[in-house]
Amino acid sequence: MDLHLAIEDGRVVCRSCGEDICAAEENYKLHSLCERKPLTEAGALVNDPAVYVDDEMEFRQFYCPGCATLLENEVIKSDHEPVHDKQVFSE
Amino acid sequence: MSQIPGADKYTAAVSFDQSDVDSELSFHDIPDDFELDKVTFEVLRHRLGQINDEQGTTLKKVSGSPIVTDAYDFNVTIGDELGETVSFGPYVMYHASVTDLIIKWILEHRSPNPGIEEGDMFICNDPWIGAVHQNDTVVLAPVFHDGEIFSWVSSTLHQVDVGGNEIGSFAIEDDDAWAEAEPVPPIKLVEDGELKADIEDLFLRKSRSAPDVGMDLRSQIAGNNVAIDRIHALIDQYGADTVKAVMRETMDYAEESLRSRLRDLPDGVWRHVGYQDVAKSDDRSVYETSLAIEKRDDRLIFNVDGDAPAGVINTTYAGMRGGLVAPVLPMLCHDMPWALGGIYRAMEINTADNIMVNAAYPAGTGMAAVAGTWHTVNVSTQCVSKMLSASEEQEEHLVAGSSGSWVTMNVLGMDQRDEFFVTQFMDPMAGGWGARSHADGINTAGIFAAPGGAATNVESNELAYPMLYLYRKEETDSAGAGKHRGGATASMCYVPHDTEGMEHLGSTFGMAVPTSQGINGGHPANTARYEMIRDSNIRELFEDGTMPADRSEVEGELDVLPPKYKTMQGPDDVYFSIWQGGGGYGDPLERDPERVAADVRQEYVSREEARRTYGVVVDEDGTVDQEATDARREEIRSDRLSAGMWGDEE
Repeated sequence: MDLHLAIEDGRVVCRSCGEDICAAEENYKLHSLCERKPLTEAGALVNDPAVYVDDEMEFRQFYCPGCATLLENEVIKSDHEPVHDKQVFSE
Repeated sequence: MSQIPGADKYTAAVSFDQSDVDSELSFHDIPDDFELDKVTFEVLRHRLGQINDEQGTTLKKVSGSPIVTDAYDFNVTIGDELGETVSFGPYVMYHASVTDLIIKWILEHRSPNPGIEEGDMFICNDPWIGAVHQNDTVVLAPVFHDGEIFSWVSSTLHQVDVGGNEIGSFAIEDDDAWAEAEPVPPIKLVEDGELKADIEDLFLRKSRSAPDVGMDLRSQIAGNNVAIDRIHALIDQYGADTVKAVMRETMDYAEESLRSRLRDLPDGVWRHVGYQDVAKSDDRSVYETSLAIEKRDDRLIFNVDGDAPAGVINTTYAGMRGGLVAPVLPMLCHDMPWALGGIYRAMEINTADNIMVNAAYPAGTGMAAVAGTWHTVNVSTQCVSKMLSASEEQEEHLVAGSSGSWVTMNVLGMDQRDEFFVTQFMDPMAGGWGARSHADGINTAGIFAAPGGAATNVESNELAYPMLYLYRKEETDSAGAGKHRGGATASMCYVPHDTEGMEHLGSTFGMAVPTSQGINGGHPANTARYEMIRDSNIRELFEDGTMPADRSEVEGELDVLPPKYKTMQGPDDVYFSIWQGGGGYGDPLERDPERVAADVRQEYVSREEARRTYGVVVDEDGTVDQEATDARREEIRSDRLSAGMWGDEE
């Protein structure tokens, strides 16, 4: 599925620790640990969006519940659901 | 569909019907049973590439605009008799990805009147018909053989100013095309080999930089003429049927190679939501596009939706398609001919009507190449990269988000020779590329959709324009963190020199929201930024023999400029801008501490970011403190495990 996740027997599992995260057709982000941070946490040279826009933006980080591997990040509006960015069809 | 009466005629020929072409016009074709040997195919398809190369070199030699001669913001194409692209140059990709649409429109609408004859060239900068935006003017020419259209060639370049309300034709204070340079549908610029003076005047009259545009037009005509001559020579040497068979086979080969690659990838859907910030001056909103790429067997299906058109940040169907295909070429087609006429056959595009990246007339599209189209490249890059990440065999070809926006800097004024000038600084061509699955991104590599692009030399700018650089340099912490970090980007800082100052128009996105995204846990790169340090002490520093190496060494009143701005730069005002680097790949905690320390020593990463994001403690002497690093990484992992699931806080 990607660097960190694999699909085994119709389930998304962590490659590092084997944690069973969710069914293959589900959004793994909804079954991962999630931190919601200010955009400025994404990097030292990332501007504060409030200087330029009124929209609420955030930096999300999704972690494996088993081993804390950082699975994926999102730069997204605060009221947006996590994007199901990777959906590999399992047969 | 446009609400403007009569506008729908000027729409890209997406569904082209050859029966709509005037019956007097005939096209060269080859018998179905024509046989082409593979050696001839290989020799001649490379020969077509060489013709393209010479076409591009000719254009560069004739144009006097640094945008073309130094930064290579142009491209050239060779197509078949219906304009399907067989070959194009290694310059700005989306210049080349639209010409088939324009040619089909010409065939449909110009074949009855005024006709399409040998020796004609058409000029077009209408985004709804196919130009990416008005500055990216296209000159297209049919290549005739024995009275039939055999092929088409085209030359596109960014003309510095083609009219409209603002410098460089970027109407950042307006909402629609009425304020921009008027879109010109295909008209004959050259007839029977002669440049039509009245049509040339129509184009030059509206520009703030008519001499530059005049040279640009001649360079485009010259490039096309060289390509036409060389194609005729190729036909003389090998025969028309053989050359045409090579064109057909090149497109078929590209299509089948792409389909074969797709069959090796797992089926699935990859989605991304991306943003542009600020649609016009004084606006304070972000605008969203969502893309889902579905891969089924040997097809790629692009489903595009998003916010409605706004301000000047939109693009048309042509620009959107060019943005979607741009990442496909280097990541999926790196080892096959970029014959778009074949590659498009494996792609299907489903798009919502009248959205920011498929805007109906008269939405503002005058900046499309560096707004809606660039933004489309970003969202497509994410989806294509994540698709490749699903394949252990193909993941090495993915590239995370790269140089996520173009930091436009259009300026005009009186130069050191007391002559009027207008230009666009092309320094942001030195953007950082995204990380790969096996390596860091390339520092200041360029623009992902313009592999042949180049940053203008500092000295060339200082020679041509009244400016003195304090520096142009790579910036610490500009790369997205990751197991493999992104490529660092650069910034520029200058003061006016031997002039009273200059007028500025800036326009970018990726300032409120980083748009070079990482993947698989890689962080995004930096955001873009414009600053002016007003009434600075720069002259005093010069008198003291000091040349600042960073803007923090300059004192003055800091003016942080928004993503769309107009302002004056006085003689002592120091201007700074930074564009974006590349996104990272993988969890930063998995990066080898020794590589982090090396980055700290080389000032790609600050000591604080090494500790905060990578969890690597680097001593003052630049070596890794292993014990402190182990403790810091454990602390970060522990913090992560204390986080809740999505929605827990509700």
